[in-house]
Amino acid sequence: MSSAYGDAYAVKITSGVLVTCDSAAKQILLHLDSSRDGPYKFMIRDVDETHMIIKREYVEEIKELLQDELEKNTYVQDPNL
Amino acid sequence: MSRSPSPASSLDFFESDPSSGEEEYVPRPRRKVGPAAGGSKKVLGGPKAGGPKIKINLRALQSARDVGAAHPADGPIEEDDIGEADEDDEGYFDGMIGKRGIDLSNQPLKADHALRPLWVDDKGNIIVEAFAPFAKQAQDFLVAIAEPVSRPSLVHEYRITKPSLHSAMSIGLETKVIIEVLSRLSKTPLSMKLTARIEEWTASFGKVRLVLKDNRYFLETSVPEFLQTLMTDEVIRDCRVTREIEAGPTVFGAEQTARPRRDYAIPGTEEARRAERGELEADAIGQQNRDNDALLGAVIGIGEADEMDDEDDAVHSFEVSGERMEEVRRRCKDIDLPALEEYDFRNDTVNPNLDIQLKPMTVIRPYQEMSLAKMFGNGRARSGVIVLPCGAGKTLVGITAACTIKKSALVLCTSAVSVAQWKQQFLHFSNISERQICAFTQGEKEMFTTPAGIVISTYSMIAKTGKRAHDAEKMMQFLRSREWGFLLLDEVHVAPADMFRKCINNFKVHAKLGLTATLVREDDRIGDLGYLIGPKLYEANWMDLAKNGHIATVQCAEVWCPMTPEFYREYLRNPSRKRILLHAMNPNKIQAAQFLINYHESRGDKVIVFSDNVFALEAYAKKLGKSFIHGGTPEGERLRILSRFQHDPQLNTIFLSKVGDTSIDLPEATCLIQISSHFGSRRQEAQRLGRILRAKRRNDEGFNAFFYSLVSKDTQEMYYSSKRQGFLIDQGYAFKVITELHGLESMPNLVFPTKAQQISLLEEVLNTGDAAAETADHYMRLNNGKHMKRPAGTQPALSNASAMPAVQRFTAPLEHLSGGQNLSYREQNKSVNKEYMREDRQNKRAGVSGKDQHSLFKKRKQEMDAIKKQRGAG
Repeated sequence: MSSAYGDAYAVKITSGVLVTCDSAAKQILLHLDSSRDGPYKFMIRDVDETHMIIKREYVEEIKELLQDELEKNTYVQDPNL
Repeated sequence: MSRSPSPASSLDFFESDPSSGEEEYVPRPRRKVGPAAGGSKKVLGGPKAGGPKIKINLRALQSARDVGAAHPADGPIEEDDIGEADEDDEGYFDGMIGKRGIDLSNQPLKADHALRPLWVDDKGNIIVEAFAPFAKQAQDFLVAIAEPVSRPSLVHEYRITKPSLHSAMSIGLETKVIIEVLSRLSKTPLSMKLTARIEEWTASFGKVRLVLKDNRYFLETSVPEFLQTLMTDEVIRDCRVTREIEAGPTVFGAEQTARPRRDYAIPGTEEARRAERGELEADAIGQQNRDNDALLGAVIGIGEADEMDDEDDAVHSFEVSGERMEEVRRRCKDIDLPALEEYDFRNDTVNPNLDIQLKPMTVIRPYQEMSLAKMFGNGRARSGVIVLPCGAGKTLVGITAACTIKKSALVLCTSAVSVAQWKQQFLHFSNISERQICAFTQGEKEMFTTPAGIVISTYSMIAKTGKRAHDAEKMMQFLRSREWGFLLLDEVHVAPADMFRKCINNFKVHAKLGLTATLVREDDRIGDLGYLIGPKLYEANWMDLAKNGHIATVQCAEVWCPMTPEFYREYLRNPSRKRILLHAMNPNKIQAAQFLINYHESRGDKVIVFSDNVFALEAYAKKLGKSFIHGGTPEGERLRILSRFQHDPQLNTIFLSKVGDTSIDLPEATCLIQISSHFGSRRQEAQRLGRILRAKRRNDEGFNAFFYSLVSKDTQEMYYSSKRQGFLIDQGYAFKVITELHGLESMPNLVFPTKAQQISLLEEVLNTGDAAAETADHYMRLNNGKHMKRPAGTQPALSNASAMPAVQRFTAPLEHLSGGQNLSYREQNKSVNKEYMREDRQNKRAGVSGKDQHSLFKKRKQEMDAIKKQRGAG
């Protein structure tokens, strides 16, 4: 972040990670992001239907959360049935 | 279970032309299945992610194979099958058996193990090599003594449990026979632990019988020690009835009678047919031929064991009070001497005989005969449950049983439609006259006037509480006052246990038979059936029936439809009730449904589309221009559509809600598409599959029925879908996963092709009331027995004011307040149902005025009118 906060023409540089995923996974990420506040938001830019840029430090955490979410829809057969 | 989509196997037959596609799905003889079906054998070889890893050591199998290779004459050991499982690095494959798996590698193999098909561990888990030389015989035996766990094409799993052994005992098998045959079929010597366990479990069972004779209940046993125990037991002692007058020859103060033997034939079987022709000696030869099949001596014994068990032992019995039956039954169970209920129908002189016989043209199939032989094993009728797939002729089994017992019978089924079907089938297959058979439903309340007869009714009519109409009450009293020889319960799995108790305890019944295709429930109530009706007498193998052409061969597929981003966004944000509607109404799913319907209609298939959700049902049907039936559809309209579906080549697709799950008989249907379903109900899945198993065209060369389940990707549906398939997979069906339908994009008239249309659909879905999300279709509710007509798809009904809060809020667009919402919507998507109604009306009108009629019909009509007039005058 540059110090010239009010200057609309100042160049701002933020590093991020481009995430490529299918549209459903992206919707999950958007949903996760919308449930967070202020500094905990991880999305930098919503690029298109299958791409988004997120903050680097959240990558691992997001991977885990996404996995958990998808896991909910997977059926593990109960051996007692 | 995570199943990776294999693009190679995904719906490749859609690209190829129909003829070659069908060739590809010719049902294969069993031996060839290995390599060809390799991709779809997820049940056996496929790795399962997550869950407890359960392992079976393959080393023993491996060595068996080596021996088999060394002696090629030993027969067809399936190289490919073992090879495939072998690919797994550790030499293990995952299975469902036990917690820790089976390791038989330290067991010595018998010298001729290659001929023996079973692996048996000390906990009673059994693995059958279904390709082994004696597998057929082994399976007949195992069906009797163990629970089938999973029966895919090559390797089957069974489990010996206490109830299963009790079932075995109840059909007359004895402990020593069970152990003897099991050890002969096993590749390794049986462990002492297992034999001890079998002995322990079977020690007391089946030795005590509860018999209703001359309207009096008797407890009888052939073992004096058990009699002692029973008579000294304080509860049972109190229930005992002593009659001073008729003191026969007594042992321990009890009556002694000779045990009856089976010396009659079940009608409709080969045996009976031959007996009629007087070819008794042929029977003996037939028996011998059958025996020659079984080179392993033990197997021969199975058929005979049924009839030969405990020779001519004396039977000791004493009478118990009829009013306290429930008590006696429960007590017997508590002291580990469960009483079997049997009906000695041939010696029953109190109840009048019903003159009923199968018509000579009626032939029953081998498996039906087998199931009945289990029921009438020792000359008496045993109570129990027979499990046959839908469409395999359960009705005929029930009718044949009634014809064997030849006493008054009461038949209970699930709906008025099936009551009519049962009645019609009785008249079709047997020589019973119309006045001996009557229905007891909301519409019909007649009683038979002959001394014996058959009454057909529904569970809800019988179990209804509260006030009844006068004639219904009179009918109930008539039913309760009589003694019934036979109670037949159709689709026994549907009714919850408390209702059953009512149905069963209300009547004086000698023998009970339950019929079902799916002995599974998602609650634990299924166990109660064993106690209320009886043990499972017989369970058919679906794959065998399909192979012999008794039921259709079915290709099962699960179609994954990705959610559109807009729908998925709302799906994530909404509470779970609304989610049901969102994944059901996914535009991609509607497109997939449209594509599959078009594809199959063009092939000449008749398609049924199932949806539990009535809102989705109506929306789909209207959008795609098809007719639909749900609980709120009036009876007349329903019949009209069903008959159109059967006879009109223009009407090839119908949409059905839950009402079509069971008992609607549509033998024309050859393709089934499921768009929304009742959570993880395995029973529903199997019942729905049953709708196409009886396909008329099933014996055509290379015919396949198709079963598609449309699933919205990344939603709960994925979870439930896998769960639902469990039962069918255990029956040996393999589900293909289809991730992409080729040619979907290029299809003309595709619905919801643009984003804008999809979004307006989404809006519509979001704006419907909560009631639409409910999957319940009140027609099938058995607890209140009411035929509730709910106008589905409209705003929530306010009729049930007491149960709802005073104020109800829902989101709706502004035009809803002025009633403008309905106007514009209805006009665009006219219900096809109404069109048919109009058409019919027009036809009728035309018929009355005689405008466009052919001269032949005109003439006939005039003649008929003349006759009518004459009659009126006379």
